[in-house]
Amino acid sequence: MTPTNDPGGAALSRRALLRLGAGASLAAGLGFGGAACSPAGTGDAVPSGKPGLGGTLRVGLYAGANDLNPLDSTSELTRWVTDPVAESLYAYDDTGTSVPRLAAAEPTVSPDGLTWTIPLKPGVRFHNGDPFTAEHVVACLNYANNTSSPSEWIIYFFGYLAEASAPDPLTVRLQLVKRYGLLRSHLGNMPISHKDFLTRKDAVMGTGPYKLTRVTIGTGYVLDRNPDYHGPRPGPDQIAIDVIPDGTTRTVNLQEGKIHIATQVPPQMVRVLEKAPGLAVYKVDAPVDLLAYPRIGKAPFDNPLFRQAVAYGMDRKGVLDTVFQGDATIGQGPVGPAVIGWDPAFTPYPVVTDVDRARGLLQQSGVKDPSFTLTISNRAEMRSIGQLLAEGWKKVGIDVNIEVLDGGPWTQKWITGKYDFIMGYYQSGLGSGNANFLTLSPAETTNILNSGYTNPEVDGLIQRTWASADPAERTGLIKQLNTTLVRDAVMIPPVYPKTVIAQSKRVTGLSQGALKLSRLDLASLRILS
Amino acid sequence: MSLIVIDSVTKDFVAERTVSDRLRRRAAPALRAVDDVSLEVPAGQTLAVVGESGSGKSTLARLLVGLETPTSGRITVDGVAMSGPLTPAQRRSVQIVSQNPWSALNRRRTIGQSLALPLHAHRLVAGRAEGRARVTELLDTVGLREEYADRRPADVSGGELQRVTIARALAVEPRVLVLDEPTASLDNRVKAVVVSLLADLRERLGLTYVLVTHELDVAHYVADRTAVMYRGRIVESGAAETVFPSPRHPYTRMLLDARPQPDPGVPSGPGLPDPTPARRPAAGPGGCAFRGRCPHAMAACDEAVPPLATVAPGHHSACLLPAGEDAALASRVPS
Amino acid sequence: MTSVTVPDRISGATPAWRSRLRSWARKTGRPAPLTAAGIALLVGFTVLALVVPLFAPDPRATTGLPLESPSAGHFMGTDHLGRDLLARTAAGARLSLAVGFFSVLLGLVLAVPLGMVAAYRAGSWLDDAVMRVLETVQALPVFVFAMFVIGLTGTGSSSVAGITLSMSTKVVLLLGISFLPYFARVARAQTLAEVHEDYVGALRVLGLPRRRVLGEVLVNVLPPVLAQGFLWIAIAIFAESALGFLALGVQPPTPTLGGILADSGNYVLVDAWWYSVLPGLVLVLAVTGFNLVGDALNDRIDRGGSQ
Repeated sequence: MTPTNDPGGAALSRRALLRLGAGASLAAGLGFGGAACSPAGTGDAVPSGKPGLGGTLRVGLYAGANDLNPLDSTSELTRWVTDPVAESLYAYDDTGTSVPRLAAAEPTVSPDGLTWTIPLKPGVRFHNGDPFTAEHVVACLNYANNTSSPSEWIIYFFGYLAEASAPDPLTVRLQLVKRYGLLRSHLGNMPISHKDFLTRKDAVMGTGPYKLTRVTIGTGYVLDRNPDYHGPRPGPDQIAIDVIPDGTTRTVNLQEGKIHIATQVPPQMVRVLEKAPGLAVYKVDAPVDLLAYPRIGKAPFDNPLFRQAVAYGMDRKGVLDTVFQGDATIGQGPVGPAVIGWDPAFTPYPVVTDVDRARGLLQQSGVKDPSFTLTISNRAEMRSIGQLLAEGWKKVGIDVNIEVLDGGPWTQKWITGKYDFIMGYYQSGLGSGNANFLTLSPAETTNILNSGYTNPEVDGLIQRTWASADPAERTGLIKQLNTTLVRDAVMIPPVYPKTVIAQSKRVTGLSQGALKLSRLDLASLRILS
Repeated sequence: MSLIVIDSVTKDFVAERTVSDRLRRRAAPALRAVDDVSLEVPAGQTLAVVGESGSGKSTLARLLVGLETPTSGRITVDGVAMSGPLTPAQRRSVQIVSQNPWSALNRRRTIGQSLALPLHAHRLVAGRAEGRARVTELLDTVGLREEYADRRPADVSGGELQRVTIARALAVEPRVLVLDEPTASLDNRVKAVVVSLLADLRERLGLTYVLVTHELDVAHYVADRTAVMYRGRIVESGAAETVFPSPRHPYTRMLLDARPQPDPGVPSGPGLPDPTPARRPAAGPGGCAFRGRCPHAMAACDEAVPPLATVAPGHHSACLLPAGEDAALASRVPS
Repeated sequence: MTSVTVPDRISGATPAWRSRLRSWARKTGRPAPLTAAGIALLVGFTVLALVVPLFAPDPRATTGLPLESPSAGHFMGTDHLGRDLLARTAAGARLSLAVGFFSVLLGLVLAVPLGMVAAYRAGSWLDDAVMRVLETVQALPVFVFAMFVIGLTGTGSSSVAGITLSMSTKVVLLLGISFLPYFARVARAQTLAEVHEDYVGALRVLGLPRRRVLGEVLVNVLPPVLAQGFLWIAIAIFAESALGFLALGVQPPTPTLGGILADSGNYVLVDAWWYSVLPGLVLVLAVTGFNLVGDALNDRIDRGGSQ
């Protein structure tokens, strides 16, 4: 357990806390001592009671998903609703290690690395009673690997997976085109749903601890406990997820006790919530990216010196202090603190804008009347970031227009490459875990999201990274990749934000191990009674 | 030949076809405002068209100046059809003075601007200075002083304003003035001034007047000839000096009886009370339109529309009542 | 010849403008207290929009710490990015005023001729066609229309037939076109009332060409339409703010009142009351001012017309 005011992040696990008996006073003494001493602010008083089974857990989510099929979308809006419903072959434990869930054991890989055999757990049933078999896993993999399906998982499998087959009902066999060590990571992130639900967008059915029983579009979701769950009994009998778009409203609802958990706490509300004795705030380094891609395929960003001038002229400290109130990490390149290959000592770009250096680079670049349009997604933080950065670049002598787009049009621009410099907020962890797949792969020339950057050395490194089955080797390769990409200023996020979640102390603490991988482990929460 | 010739003019107003009319494929109902009217006015003379409200006399006035087009028949002034395309000079030759001078002038323009507008439109003056001089002259013609040019209609009395509308009509040097109830909205003292001004102007400028009015005393004072209209038709016409003392049609007599005792020679009094609705249901087609109100209605009146018959030289009446009985009637009615 | 006497009202020549001014002053008198308050609000808003930006710091630049409360250095405090809130509010007010004025002007310039021609040909196919088209435009609420167009063209500048339209020009065009049916209706109704006046017939009989007659009608149609237009400036300002609030208007960092209010909503609970209250007050008072004065103008014209 590591609440906000314990900055070490050293893990007392959730289960350890439970073992300690976890009376509220004890919990407060251990985990929330600092908060308990602070003067009473808003929010309810420190609750007392014993964590128990049953009850309704209420969660405030910042938007409703357009698509509830977890095989279509890796967005947290889809996954935080469907994760309790549809499980993966492998799942993360409290330490962040991926362990078998629907699979019975680790995959067996042939010596050439091209044939993977996965045994499945027997006796598992879907919510409708259908037995969980290899047939469903194969259907999901084929759906994900089909270029004509709307699945985001296509980029994870395409070009690697030749065929998925089911030699018997409890065995899945994957035939690969080339070595793909990273596949193990994907198998731990991709949910498996019933094959009849693969083309549905309004419902999902899996083998998980909860069934999705009600969807009110744009308003919320109700999940009821699955009494026949194959794993340990989950805590709450019901999970109600309410869509509350406004961040301030979400936090007010939390303070008033209408919800137990508020996602995406706005940065300016963190201090307020931290003062409330009945609440706990988690600020966790997770695979959250401020995607920041200059369009390298066209002027002025085709000029590496201009890109560096922009990178040096970026007001990272302004964004960190003013927008995130210090709760973020200064950005350099695609690799952030929550993913493998992170090196906190690698800081070529300064915290405070180096105006002289940026001006010098700009002059060397020879770009006349430097200007570009910064396309950002429509979130309060992004609007603030955009304005701060534009103001900083103005000091360097670069004129920046800001274009604010909602999700759909923003994604459209990203995919079609019709931007100068695009920035958005994205949780890559739900698809990539900590493997950084989604963030790094656009650097590869052939990637659909490639911004026009072509570097054979990088292409080679990426190929080797994904092929490797050795985590240590992969980490080393990613460090190399990151160095090159930072030097070439291909992806230049100003900061790495944290995932900020606040919860009422009327429920036991969220698993921060899960939060580090962008997971919201709702099933293991207990409501105090 | 007469300057103005009205030849068998009929004017129907057609209401817009309703959905029900369209569904039943029938024409919208038409209202006949002017029914087969023929009149002539020699140059320099005044014809008074008298009748109650709704008799069609105002429509006749609008037909005369070309604001309406006849459904059938034609109106010519000096041989030019008023419904056809007109040259500017022909257009100018007939002008109208209407009942309500406040409505007849643009309330946001000064009197000078309103008078100058037609002068410049027809290039009757060259330049501002000449326009200004001509405006002063026009004001003088109708007995108003130069300062009136800078005033707006709201700051001027009704009688003065009616003089301004007359001046504006005169600005384009017309041969004919159609006077549509020119004194109806004025009080008696002012009415006398306007009527004598009109009479004076006719003499000085050699104008021809068509005076449309329900005020018989005004008509009597100004007119050379008179025509009485009822429900769109002429029921009696003739020289003013014969029609007024010895009316032949019961309707004319009714109009004359309704007016208060006039001071001889000077028009006064409110004239005929305003709209007199039919006391009995409107008579159906085919007979005399007046028979519903006529004290002498007889069976023959239902048969056909009585034709306009000559009852004396230059005196016509559309009534079936024999002349003798008519005269006898006249003596019975208190006067 | 009958002698005609003329009442002697004014002796000596008085310049037209002075007598006009005098008669206006006589008719006007002192404004009602509400109207006076409205005029005061408008003067205040105009000063804020046109004069304050000349003295205030750069509204885009960080000139203080984030969320400073009002002080001598920052009369209205600072926003969440440390920018002077007075400077931003003033710049937003200037944009709102410009958008309000020009969108209404555009609407009037297009709508008045349409409405007048439709009324002059009342009942004809032309009238029908014009009014049906305008009804169609009117059926789309301003925001649906705006979202549709901005969704198609984006929130940046667009190129139409080789002309680059900035976002503020697009907002002016959008609002102006969506106001068109309302203005055209007023113009048509006024013209319909006007063409039954005798002077229209008299001018036709005098042989004036149709456009000259319409010109004479225009001087009577225009005042009530302009008074309506004045009221619609308030609606335009509000609409511009709403578009900014929804991030569909002029884009940051250009300050707009709506954009400021959208951002400030996130700081209501962190005791930065000035951030939302002061710009919100400016918007409300400006809209109130335009409404009060617009109503007074309408009343005056109604009285003037009934004379």
